[in-house]
Amino acid sequence: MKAKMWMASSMVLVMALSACSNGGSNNETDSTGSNNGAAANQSNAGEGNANEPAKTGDDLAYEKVTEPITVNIGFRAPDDKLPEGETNDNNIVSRYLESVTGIKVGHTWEAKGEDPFKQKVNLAIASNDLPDALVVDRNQLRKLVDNDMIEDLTEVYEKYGSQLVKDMYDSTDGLALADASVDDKLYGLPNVAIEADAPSLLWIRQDWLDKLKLTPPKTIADLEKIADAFANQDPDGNGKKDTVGLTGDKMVVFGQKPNPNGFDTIFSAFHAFPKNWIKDASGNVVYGSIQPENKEALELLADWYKRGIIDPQFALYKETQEPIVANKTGLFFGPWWMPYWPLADSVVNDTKADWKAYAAPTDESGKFVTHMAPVTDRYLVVRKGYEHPEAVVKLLNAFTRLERRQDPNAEEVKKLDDFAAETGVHVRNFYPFDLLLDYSDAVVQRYDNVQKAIRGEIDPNTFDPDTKLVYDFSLAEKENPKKNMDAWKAAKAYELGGGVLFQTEMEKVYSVFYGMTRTMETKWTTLEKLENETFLKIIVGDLPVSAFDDFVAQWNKLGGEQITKEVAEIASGK
Amino acid sequence: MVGYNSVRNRIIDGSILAALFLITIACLIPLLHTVAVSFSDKTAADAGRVFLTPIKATTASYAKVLDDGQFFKAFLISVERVLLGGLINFVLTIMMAFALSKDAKQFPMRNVYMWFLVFTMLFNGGVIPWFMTIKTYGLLDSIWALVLPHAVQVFNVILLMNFFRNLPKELNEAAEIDGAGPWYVMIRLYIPLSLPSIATVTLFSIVFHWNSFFDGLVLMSKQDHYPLQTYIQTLVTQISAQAMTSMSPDELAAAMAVSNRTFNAAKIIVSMIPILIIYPFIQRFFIHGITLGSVKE
Amino acid sequence: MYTRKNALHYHAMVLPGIILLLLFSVVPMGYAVIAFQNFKPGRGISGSEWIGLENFQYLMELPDSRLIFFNTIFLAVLKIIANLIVPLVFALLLNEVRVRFLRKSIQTIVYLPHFISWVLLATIFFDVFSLEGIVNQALGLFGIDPVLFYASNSWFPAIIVATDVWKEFGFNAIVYLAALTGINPALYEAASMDGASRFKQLWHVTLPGVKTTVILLATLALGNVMNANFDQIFNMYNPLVYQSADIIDTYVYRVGLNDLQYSLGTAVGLLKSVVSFILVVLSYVLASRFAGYRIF
Repeated sequence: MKAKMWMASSMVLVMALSACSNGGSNNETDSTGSNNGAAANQSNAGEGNANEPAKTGDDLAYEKVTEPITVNIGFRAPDDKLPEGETNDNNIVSRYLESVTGIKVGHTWEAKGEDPFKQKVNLAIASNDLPDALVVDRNQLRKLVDNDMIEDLTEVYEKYGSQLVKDMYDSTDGLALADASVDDKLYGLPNVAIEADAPSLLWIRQDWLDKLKLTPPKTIADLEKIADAFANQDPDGNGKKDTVGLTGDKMVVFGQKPNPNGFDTIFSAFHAFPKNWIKDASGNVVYGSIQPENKEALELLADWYKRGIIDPQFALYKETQEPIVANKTGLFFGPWWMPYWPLADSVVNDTKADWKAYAAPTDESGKFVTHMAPVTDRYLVVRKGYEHPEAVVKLLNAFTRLERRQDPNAEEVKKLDDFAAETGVHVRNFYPFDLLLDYSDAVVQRYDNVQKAIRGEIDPNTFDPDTKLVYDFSLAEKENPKKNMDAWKAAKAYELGGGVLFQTEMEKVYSVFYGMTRTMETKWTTLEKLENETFLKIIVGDLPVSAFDDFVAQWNKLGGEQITKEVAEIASGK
Repeated sequence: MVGYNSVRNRIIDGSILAALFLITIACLIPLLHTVAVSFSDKTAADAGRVFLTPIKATTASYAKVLDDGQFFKAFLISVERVLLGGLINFVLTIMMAFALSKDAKQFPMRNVYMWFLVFTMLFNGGVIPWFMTIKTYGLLDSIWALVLPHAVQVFNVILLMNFFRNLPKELNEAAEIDGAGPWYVMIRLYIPLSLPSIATVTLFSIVFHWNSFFDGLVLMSKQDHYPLQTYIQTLVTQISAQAMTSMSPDELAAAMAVSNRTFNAAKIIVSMIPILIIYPFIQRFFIHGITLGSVKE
Repeated sequence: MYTRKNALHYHAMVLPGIILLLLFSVVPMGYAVIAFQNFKPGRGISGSEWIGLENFQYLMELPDSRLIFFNTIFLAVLKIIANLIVPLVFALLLNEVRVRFLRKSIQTIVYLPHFISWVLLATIFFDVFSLEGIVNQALGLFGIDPVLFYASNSWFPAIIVATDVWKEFGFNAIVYLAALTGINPALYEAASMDGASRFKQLWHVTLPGVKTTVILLATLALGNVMNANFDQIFNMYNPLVYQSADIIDTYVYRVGLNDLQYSLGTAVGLLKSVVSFILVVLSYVLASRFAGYRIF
């Protein structure tokens, strides 16, 4: 869910590019290598390459395979409705990728949605019947490595990985690849998360604030006052008591990459970092969720829930964004990309909605504190014994190049863009693997560049296509506010979300450990369930706040203590 | 005296009827409500203003269902499953029920088989072993994976068996003296005499196949192969987050005009239709079909 | 001895079904030995480590397992009781109706919910019990504040039981109605002659007439004590009410399929099967000993 939602952002970029340019190919960070390589590859494609010397670098990375290869994959099917005649495994996107790589992709199975996909992967693991390649999560990667079911990709990646892919992995200072490696063997090609996705900002309806004559919040007390006013003083002015205060999600906190409605920021304002492994005052590795600071946050939230400051229905929504989209709330937490979704829907439903983002509430000393996310959380793996692991890497090269707008086949790319524009289908959803790579500081950089260009400090023509698009959208939005929703989404996400991230001095807290330990393997899910349920129950008043202490004791007893030891060992060993 | 009694009786009758009327209404309200929602305008449905009559009646949701290719694919798969599964159940149930209706003197292994059936009804290996078994047989993603594991409906066998046991023994004996074999007895004597019961268990097996969702979820590899209930179970909001990002406000407005609440209600109604069609025809057999399935020794 | 010669034919009639059951029910049970292993998919069953009852021991330590066993039995028993009483009352009421057409129409309607799947009903009920749903609308007429039924651990079990009764009472009444039609009309006539009121007739004729049926049904229901209905709960519950509605079957599903704990999930399922089997044997024995009925 999470990942797909985020995708919304670049999706728009893909969409609209067809309108304003035809897929330029200059990129400030990395251009010559990949473009030349691709061009060389194109000219070679017809001639065959038997008599050429062994190729290296991008020549090899983008080279079309000579003999047809088939990769059978587990496919995460999107919601997009393809036109008549197109299918999930045979459509304009798959045909294009096959035409550039020479690799045919078959679907061993498909699943739609996060849980069904996860279950299909788990069934495939359980029955030791993996497709040739698929995307797994951290837990599953661990299981697969343990069971010796997947290929070591170290050499294949070294040899066949494109410069672009390598550059983006390098932008994480090696963290991404290290995360997918065990004993220096690379077992999966990880995605690269955008750093900006971790902090959860406070989104507020400015028009409601103005109407009730309130000022933007800094502290927790400010937030409480605003939420109370939003719930009780009829901010939407329809004379009915149909608004709520702060909304939440039944997950309570997301811990790493938040979706809308996590309470992460409230916890970190108390210097509590649930779901993260942190170092305590004396430097010991401890689990964030069982630290006493959580109790203060929970006490506050439980009190708010009781007093109706938090949406009383928050745990019930099937889709957490319901109150936001329906404009029942003017206050929630969410990462920088909220304007893409769900805020665009809120604005469509009520054009008066004027959302703003704030890095609030702050801690006692006035500082905004946030946990960070792991650099990666999904991994492309190859079944042990599959003959063509290089084909998987080549597919990744090909669709990453396309995704990052560096594909030299301008004509074909234009066709894809037109197709997307006509049908509303998202090209990226039909890449064989749901695994997107980007530079990890892309959002903040882009915001900065766009603002500079708007101020005339730099020339927008030097921008890479993604940045150029944000720039164009930002100009369009300035001229005709809320006219073109695509422009609104991109412009506002960067201006509001990106802007706050860029301007705010934050205290960033990194988890010291994201993996799985031996004991975690059997006990973690139980502990996690205990934790999630305890937090939720305390907030909704099913358990008293004092139950937190019982939870800590039980957590330790049920294996938490042992796991903490193991994590400390691994973390200090690094 | 008599007058007093009859007045009193009438009052009692009246209150009984009133109570039954209320009970019947209670059975219908959720269903009627769903029908009303399915014919209502989206905004009214979302605001919860629809009760038992549609507000701003529209058939937009049904038009959308008719336009939903996957819904119909799933619908057809369910029909196929019901036909195939129902037929297999029909044949096996009758054969097994007939043989097992004999006592241990006539059919020495009878009790062994019987306990075996009960055992299989209660024990199962769980989802993972079940999945691995079907995979081993190479049946994943095929209609047979939905049909064969449920080929024997133990409960139906027991029901029909008990009905057979209640048929007069003389029937069997007389026929056998005339030299008729057991197949003949089953087909020519037992089946014609048990039509209500057979109709009843057949309805049960049809309904079972129509209503199953979980096996489709686990055993089908592509959602194009999901039967209807599985499809409905996994329904995610049609206007997804991603789709929204790319729609223009006009498109969005059009899409939003048919909300998921009304759309889903329409899907629910359409998926009930087959049951609603078959049910009244077979319903009248129930009372005769299901005598308390048991025999007094 | 004359009859024995047909045994071969009987075997032939049973065998196709038995073979299918062997293939699709017994073979998977073979795989269930992973309950006694630390199952590693990469190594398969033969290569995985045998750990005896360790999974079961771990199960006993889990606070979850007490909860899910309690929830399962609690919900199942409530359902059994409600499903014995409500259909009986309904059948008794219906039995008083002499107009055939009315009887038939009522029956047709009340049987209907039995045939609708929980997938569909769950969606319908979610709507019905939501904050804007018709139940809360109705409560609103009496000035009662809306209740969050699906979020409340005190309401949710009641909803589970109530919706189950709603779905099944009509259908369950069939057995009672059959028993009621079986009561000799002469008994009513005699009672009527003696001047017995309708309540007296109910008490002295009707109820004794269905007593054995009630007892028998109660005995048979014993086999369902571990069965709180996966289809219903899986489609209706949510994380907020795991506390009160998470049952063995849903737990097994989540642990095995979502959490990759194959062995643990299988162990829980196995435990449930064993207990159920014992209960069914018990109910079989009780029914045949005390009511003189052979169920199968």
